[in-house]
Order: sequence, then structure tokens, then C-alpha cells
Amino acid sequence: MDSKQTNLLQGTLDLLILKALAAMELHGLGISRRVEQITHGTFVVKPGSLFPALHRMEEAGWLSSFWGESENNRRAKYYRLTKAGKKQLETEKEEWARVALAMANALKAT
Amino acid sequence: MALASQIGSLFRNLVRKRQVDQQLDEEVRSCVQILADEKMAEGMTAPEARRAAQAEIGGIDQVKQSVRDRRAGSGIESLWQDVRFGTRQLLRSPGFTVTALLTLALSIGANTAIFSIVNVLMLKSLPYPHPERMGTIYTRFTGRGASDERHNINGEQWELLRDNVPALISAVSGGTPGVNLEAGSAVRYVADGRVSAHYFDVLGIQPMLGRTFTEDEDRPHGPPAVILGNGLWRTLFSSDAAILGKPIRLKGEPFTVIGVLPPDAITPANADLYTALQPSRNGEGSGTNFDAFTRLRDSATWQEADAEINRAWTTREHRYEKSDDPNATVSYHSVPLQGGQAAELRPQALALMLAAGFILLIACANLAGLTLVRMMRRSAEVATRMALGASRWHCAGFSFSSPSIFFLSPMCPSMGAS
Repeated sequence: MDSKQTNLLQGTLDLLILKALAAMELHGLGISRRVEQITHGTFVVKPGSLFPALHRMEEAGWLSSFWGESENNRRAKYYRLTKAGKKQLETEKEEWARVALAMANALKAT
Repeated sequence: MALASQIGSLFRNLVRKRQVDQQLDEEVRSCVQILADEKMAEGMTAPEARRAAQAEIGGIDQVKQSVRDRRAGSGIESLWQDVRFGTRQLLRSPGFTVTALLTLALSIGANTAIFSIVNVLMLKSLPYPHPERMGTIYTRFTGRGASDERHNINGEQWELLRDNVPALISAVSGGTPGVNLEAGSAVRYVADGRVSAHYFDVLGIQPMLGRTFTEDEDRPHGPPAVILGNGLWRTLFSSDAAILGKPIRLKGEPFTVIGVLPPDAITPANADLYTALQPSRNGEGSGTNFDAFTRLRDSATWQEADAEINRAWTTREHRYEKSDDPNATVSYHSVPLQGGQAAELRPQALALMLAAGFILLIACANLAGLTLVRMMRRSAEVATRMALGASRWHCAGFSFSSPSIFFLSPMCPSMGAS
């Protein structure tokens, strides 16, 4: 991910990861691909940014991890949302909506 | 709760480090493996696929390091790494390390020792109630051989001080000779503080048991009485309260125990037990053998006390002070006890403190120079580190790690040295 995208994504990477995991459990690579998918290619999260974020969120108690098998029967570490994580997702969604509204108003003003 | 989870993770990251790192390694490698599998399915050969996969994720070790940098406890981990590195560096040049340690230990130790002396002498108050109201008397000479210092007083001066200076509670002590004590079957050589009746009143020490001397006991040929120090009472008399009123033999004569001092009592006489001085103008009282201590009474001032002392003492017949120079002007004034007791040692103590301070300064300057030379020699190493991607912060961190170890480790030997 180049530097322009990094700055934008720092605050929203958590939100995107939480959203990606809301539907299903995924391993690291899978999360990266799902984020790319649901943002229609706008945000490509490289492992160098993704894995630190995943571990940080796990330490904060929003995700839990377990070892499972990937599509081609390889061992991989899967992540899922915890109850606290689901709550955090809702909180951040509201926060994001507020920010977006505020920005929209600011830009509409003359 | 986020905090509980964080603390748990911190603990795990620091204590189960190997496990955590192993899992991280597995996780990143499995990611590479999945990518490689996909590329092989597209037609690449195995080694090509692996290399491409690694490049795509940005390098296995880089990813692992970026996780390590941001997980709980990363600060502590890198600090610990720096400490270990600094220690290895120091161990590799033992000459420098030993010299530096010794220098610091000795100079810090010297400063600590001297400061504790200065602290007790000049900074801490005397361990008595209202120490600012305690004093001693200085004799000031003008004329040939001018001086202003504390003198012992003789029996005549003492009696005048005791009787004609109502502004002060006064006491004298006459030295602390060693005497033979016989109590039951035990015989001991102890220090006997010979003090006047109101000695403990001046010091503000209340006996734990019994009482202090009456004025009757302080008169020549008065009833022989002794006050025991707390230490002696505990060791020789097994803290037995029934010792009050019983006789013990000192210098072969029976003395009645009239009191016991509390455990924290400290006196200038510094004795194991105390007997009444029984001063007079004869015998030892004919010469200047008494050490005076005073305490200002509640409603009085030092000026009143000094006026009374001067009135009392200047009208004496035999004034030994004038024996050297009959034309000298002699006057007396009270001086606070803390200053008076410490006055002789004050200039030496201050000089020592200054000297020790300078030594520490020089030691630090030397060490700074040596450290600077060592750091400069490592500039090539620092350049390499920065080229490999270390931040400036990181380089600063490890440069300061070995000197910081110096700062912390000599504390132990210097405590020993002091």
C-alpha cells in the first residue's frame, strides 16, 4: 500500500477488518482479499500493515484466533469477532457515519 | 475489557516470548505458503512461486518485525534488548568497564559518606524537642589573643549560672568515665555519665520509669542515685521494672536506681548509666571541668539570658579568663547548641564536601570523555545500522544503553564503598 493510501487508512483499517470478519471467519490473507473485495479494489492492505493490526486488535480483545485448515488444506491462523468486537464494530460504524456527515456538511458549505 | 486483555497480552508476550514468536512465524509462513500454492497453480515452479510469494507480502522477517514493533510490550522488549547489548559491549572491553565502575563507585561512595556526616552535623536537627531553644555559652575575648569560643566552666560559674540566670534551665556534665558495675553476680565495666540534676530537663528527655535526680541528690555528699540507660537495663537487668529502688554497686559503693531512660534517648554524654555530678567550688570545681548545656525557658529570650549570664559572671572575684591579659574585655553569649557542638568540625566538613563534589565532577568528566571516544569509534557501525533501516531513535537508544548501565550498576558497589 503506498503512502497516500496508508494515511487515509490508519483510522479506518480497524473498521474494515471488523466489517470483513462480521460475515465469516477468515485467515490473514483472506481478510486482506475480502477488504479489497468489499471496497471494490480501493483499499489493498499489505501483510506488513494487516498483521500488526490483527495482532493489536486481538490484544485489545476484539478478535480471537484459532488454527484451522485453509482451502488447499494448509494450516493457517483464522480470526473471528468476539462479542466485544461486534460491539466495537457498531461503535465505529456510528462514529464513521458522524464523521462522514460532518465532512459532507463542511464541503457543502459555501 | 480492553485493559484486562492488554495486560494479559503484555504478560504473555514477555513471559511466553518463544511460544508467541513461534506462532507468529508459523502464521506468516502459512500465508506465504498459500500464496505460493496459488502461484504454482498458475504455472510457476516451486522455488519461483515461493520467491514471488515472499516478495508479494514484503518479506517474512519484515512482516514479523512490524508485528513485534507494535504489540504489547514492544517497548520493554527493545529496552531489554538494548540493555543486553550494552552489557555485552561492556563485558567485551573489561579494562574500560572496570576503570569506569571503580571511578564511579569510589566517587559516589565518598560523596555519600561525606554527605551523611554533613547531614547529621549540620542539616538534621538535634533529636530533642525544640532544639532551637537549646544552647551553650561562648566566651568572647577582645584585645590581645581575641577569640570567641566555647569554654568549660568551673564550679563557681556553674553555681551562678544555676542560681542567678532564671531565663535558662541549665545543666552541666563532667565527662563520662568508665566505672565498675556490680549487680548481683554480674560485673561490668560501663560508661558513667556524670551530669547535674536538670540535665535531662535541658535535653527534654523523660525517663521511661522512675524519675531524674533531685537537687538534693546533686549536692556534695547527697544520697547516691543512678539512672540506667535503656540498653543497659535491657541487657544486664532483663528489662525488670522491679530494679527501681534497688541498689547496685558502682565503684564499690551502693547506688539506688531511681530511673530508666527510654529506648530512643541520645545524650551528649553518651553513657550507659548516669550519676549525679554533685558539683561544688572545690575539687574538680576549682578548675574549668564542666560542660554547660542550657535550654531557654518558655517566656524568656536569648537576650535576657545573655544579660543575666554577663551580670552573674562578670562580678566574680577570681576570673581565670583574665589571667593571660588583665586588660582584655570578656563577655559571654549564648549560642544555639547545634551550631555550638558542631562548630569545630563545620569548616572541615564543608571543605570535605566541596572536595568530594569536585572529585565526582572530575570523575564524570573523565567518563564522559572516554564514552565519547568509544561512541565515535562506532560511527561505522551506526551508519550500517541506519542503512539497514534502523530509525534514529533506535540508534540513540542503543548508544545510550551502555552508559546507562554504568549509572545503575555502580549503585551497588558504591553503597558498599560508603
